[in-house]
Amino acid sequence: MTSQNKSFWADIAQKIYTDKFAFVCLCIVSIIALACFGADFISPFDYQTQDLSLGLSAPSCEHIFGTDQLGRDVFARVLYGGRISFAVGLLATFVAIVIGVAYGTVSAMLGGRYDSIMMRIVDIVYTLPFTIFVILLMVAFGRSLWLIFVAIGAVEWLTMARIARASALDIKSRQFVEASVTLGQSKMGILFKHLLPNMLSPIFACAALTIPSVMMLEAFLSFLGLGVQAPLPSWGSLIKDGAEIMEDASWLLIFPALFFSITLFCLNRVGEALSERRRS
Amino acid sequence: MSWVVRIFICVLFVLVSACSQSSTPVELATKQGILLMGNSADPESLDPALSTGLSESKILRALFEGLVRANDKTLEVEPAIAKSWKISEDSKTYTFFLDEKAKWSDGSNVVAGDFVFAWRRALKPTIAAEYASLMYVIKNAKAIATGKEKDSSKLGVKAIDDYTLQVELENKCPYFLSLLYHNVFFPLHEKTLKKFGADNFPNAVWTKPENIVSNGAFVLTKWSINSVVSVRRNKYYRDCNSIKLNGIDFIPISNINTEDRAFRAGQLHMTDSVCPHRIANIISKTPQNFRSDKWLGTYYYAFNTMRKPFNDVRVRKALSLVIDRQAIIDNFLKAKQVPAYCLVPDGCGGMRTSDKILKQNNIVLAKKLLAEAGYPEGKGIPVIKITYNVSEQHKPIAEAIQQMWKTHLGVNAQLYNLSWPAYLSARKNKDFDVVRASWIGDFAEPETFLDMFTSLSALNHSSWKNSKYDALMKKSASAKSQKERLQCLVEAEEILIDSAPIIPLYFYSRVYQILPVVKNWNGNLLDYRDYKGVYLEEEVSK
Amino acid sequence: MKYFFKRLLEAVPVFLFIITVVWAMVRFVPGGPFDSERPASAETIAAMNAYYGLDKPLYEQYFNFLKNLAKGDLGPSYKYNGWSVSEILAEKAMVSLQLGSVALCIALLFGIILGVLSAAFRRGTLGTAFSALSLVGVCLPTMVLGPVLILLFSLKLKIFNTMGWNISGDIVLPAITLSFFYIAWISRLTRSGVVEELDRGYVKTARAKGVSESKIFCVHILRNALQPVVSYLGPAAAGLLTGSFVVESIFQIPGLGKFFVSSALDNDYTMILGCVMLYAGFILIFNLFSDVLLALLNPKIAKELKK
Repeated sequence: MTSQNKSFWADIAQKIYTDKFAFVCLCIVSIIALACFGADFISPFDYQTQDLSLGLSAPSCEHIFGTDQLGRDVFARVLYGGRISFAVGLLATFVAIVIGVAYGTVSAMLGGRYDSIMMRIVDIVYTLPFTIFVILLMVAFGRSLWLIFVAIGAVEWLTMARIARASALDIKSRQFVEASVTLGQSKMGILFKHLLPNMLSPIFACAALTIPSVMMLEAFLSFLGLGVQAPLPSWGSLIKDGAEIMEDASWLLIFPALFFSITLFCLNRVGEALSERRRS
Repeated sequence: MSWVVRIFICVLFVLVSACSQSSTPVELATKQGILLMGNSADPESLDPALSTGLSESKILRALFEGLVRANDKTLEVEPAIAKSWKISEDSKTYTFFLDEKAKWSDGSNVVAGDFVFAWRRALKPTIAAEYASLMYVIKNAKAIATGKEKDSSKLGVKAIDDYTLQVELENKCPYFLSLLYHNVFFPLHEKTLKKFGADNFPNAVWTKPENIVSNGAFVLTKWSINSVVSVRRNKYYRDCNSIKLNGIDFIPISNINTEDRAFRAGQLHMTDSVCPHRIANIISKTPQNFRSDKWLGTYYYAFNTMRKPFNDVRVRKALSLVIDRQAIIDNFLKAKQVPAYCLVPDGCGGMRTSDKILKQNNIVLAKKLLAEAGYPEGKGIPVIKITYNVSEQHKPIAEAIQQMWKTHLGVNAQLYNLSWPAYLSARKNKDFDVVRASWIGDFAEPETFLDMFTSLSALNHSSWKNSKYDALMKKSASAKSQKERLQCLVEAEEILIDSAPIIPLYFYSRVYQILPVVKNWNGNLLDYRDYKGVYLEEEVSK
Repeated sequence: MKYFFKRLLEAVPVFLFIITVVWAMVRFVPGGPFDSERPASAETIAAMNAYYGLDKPLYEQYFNFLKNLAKGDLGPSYKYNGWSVSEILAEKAMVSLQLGSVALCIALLFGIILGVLSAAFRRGTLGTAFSALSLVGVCLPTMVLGPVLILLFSLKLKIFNTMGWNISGDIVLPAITLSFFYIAWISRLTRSGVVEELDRGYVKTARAKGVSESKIFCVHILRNALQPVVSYLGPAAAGLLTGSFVVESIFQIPGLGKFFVSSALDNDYTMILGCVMLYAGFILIFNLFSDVLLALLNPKIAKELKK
């Protein structure tokens, strides 16, 4: 581990530690995420096993969150749905980070004309209505889960690219980098040794804010019926179905919406705490 | 900061003005005699020849009137623009005598030539009218539509004089008069269409409120996409006294929950449909508003019979036999729809479903058939792709069927939902294993369903072919008596169901909410009505 | 002024590039615009394609498209027979403009207030509470918020209509629903702006000089702290004005949002292009506006721009 890396983790730890509320939020998100990914061990039911004789039934001892109209356990579906939503959020954010950071750093490293052209392109893509894009992508290339990640990631990388570029420029101008240039290190060497580790902090903060917005976007796609393929649930599709039936079976909305909103809230809070500048 | 204050005042003003609204839109409209009706979608075209959907048809029936009308209870043929007609001995020539009082909304007379113009236009290849195929019973119609016959005057329709129209058929067609209900047979105002360049091209600018000339009970006064289509009384209408409504507002609400809330808040007299899970609630709280009418439509799944293992009739039958239709209806549809084990609804056009068709699920037999086909316990069957289009109604049904196949037969299925155009293209290109489909009858005769599965039909998504079936359908068309015709159709359906290219699931019902102030609203199998006799009665306050 | 024109001129190639990409893209989506439940015969499809000029080679279609565009004609909608794209978009843009501007005002009002409050009390529980409150918008999906508001205010309290766009009161609920998300963003930006400014030297200097707290706050701090909010206004306004599909669907509002989704789902080629152009146009214009606003707020930026 390089020294820069250490300071990065220390920085995050310190930010979270000083903001008690954010710390609590981080804990809650971690618990929810763990529960979702460990759904197989926690939930006694499967997300797709139906029991038509049960139909819509309110929360009870056996099914603590009730069952949906196909008699499926809502608790299991919320957990499995969370798994999909987290997966979409994390993977799409990862895609966004990879594209955005690569693009932003390259742009900053090249500098000059290339830099301004590359940033101009980002501006152009910004002016596209991404809803149309995502829908066209989904319709054109079939409907695999992977595509959702890529499609969402592909529209979310822009902000990341700007942030990456800004921090790369900032770091580039610092003394230690200038020193290594004079020492005769190659550009690539500088990139990997100094830039990336130092950019981690702002990127991490941005990622914490991107994950919830990706989850929101997934919910929007579900609203259009373009989300994950049934019977696989996602929080978005559960909330959509629940919102339609909320007057007759409120538990179908309340539980997924609660999990979804709490997660989003906490992630946002953590993201805000991380992006707060260190005060002297 | 003065803008903050200004906005605050604005908001307050808006609030107050909203609160001061004393009566609901429905109460206001009832006083004015205007029906507020939920419509599932925006009309895509109000050109009678070009429009295809149900939401368009509802509006067109208010705007135009054809030769004959359907009785709104029994669907029997009744005179409309044609006050009487004569059928020749060989049943191939129909002569219609038109009502001299019939007028267009610009005051000019409706003449036989308007029908000739409209029908010739619909068949023009450049117009590309989808429903022109309903006209193929008329002499030379098919040849003209497919471009084999260039001279459109060869069409078997003639205006003998302004008020006499003669139609010659290609073959005998026992249900020709009921075909005439369809909007593709409505007359058109030649001058208006020519003025807007619509006589040779599918250009519907002439249907805009400021341009349109129509001959029905109402005229189009407003058409705002995604907002409202308004029609108001046509003062030139020939039979003004039978029309009691002053107008209708068709409000296109695609979100079924929004529509339900609007109805409850008194913004609609009636809805287009009801969300199934609201039904129990509605029946218990406001049973007087709930309606469920039998509707001529079948919901089914079709196999791709070109693909393995669905080329094996035993596999298809087995997959069909395990589906518990009643459970699907009770759990998801909830409006007492009739489970379907055959394609044609019982009693359609006088046809009774054959007794030979098994009318229940049979899991034991299904297992046996699957084993015979070489897939005992479902071993060896690849994962089946169920393709359906995005809709809340289709999803739970597909999920339930997936589960039934899995538990009873050990067959795994995967759901694949597509946007509407992608779904249509998958179906057209036969890129599916099993596809959801449904058919709403265009006219109340069995042929509207059974013709779909002839070898050459474009609606035969299953690619199933049976020469005996084709022969029976042909025979029925030239049958001498009604009894012989129905016998042929019954036999044809037996063949179809016995080789199971499709899994019929249920017969449709029109399920909607309607306020008791709407009087004389009758349900019929085709959901056709020209709004004659419908009226609104204010509730007498107690 | 010169800067204005320069930006506008710059936008032209951007515009062309965007529409070319989208134009090419829509043609790779499966299913044509004329498919329907009853499969049309090959002749019918051919006739429709001929009528709309879709039978010509792609390059010719493209040039025809550009030619018409230069004339200001976006072509006919393939889905709504008889309507031209510009006609539909113009009508719907009016609705979206009204709804969007009201929503934006609500968002600015509450966003800034919440942001300032949470910055002012940032060290206490109160500040945490305010910033938590402002976050509600980003974590409540519109598809839940909308129906809940309707149930409460329309069906229970009977204050507003549940849907439609007929009387002035119809704007309230959808505007509130729409603004929630933006409140969160604006308050977040305001808060970080204000916090940063509070620590600046000039604030201390002003205090030492005896300038009243409220004057410091309104004149000095807010003016600087609102700069990030102003630069966010560009994309936010464009987003709000082009509507939100979910809100429009729940409240049955005849705005633009529907077309941003349905055109793509229905393969309405001309409408897709119309929407893309409209959105890009909005973004360019509003970014320009927010740049001008920024320059007004901050003379330094104005100087830079003049160079």
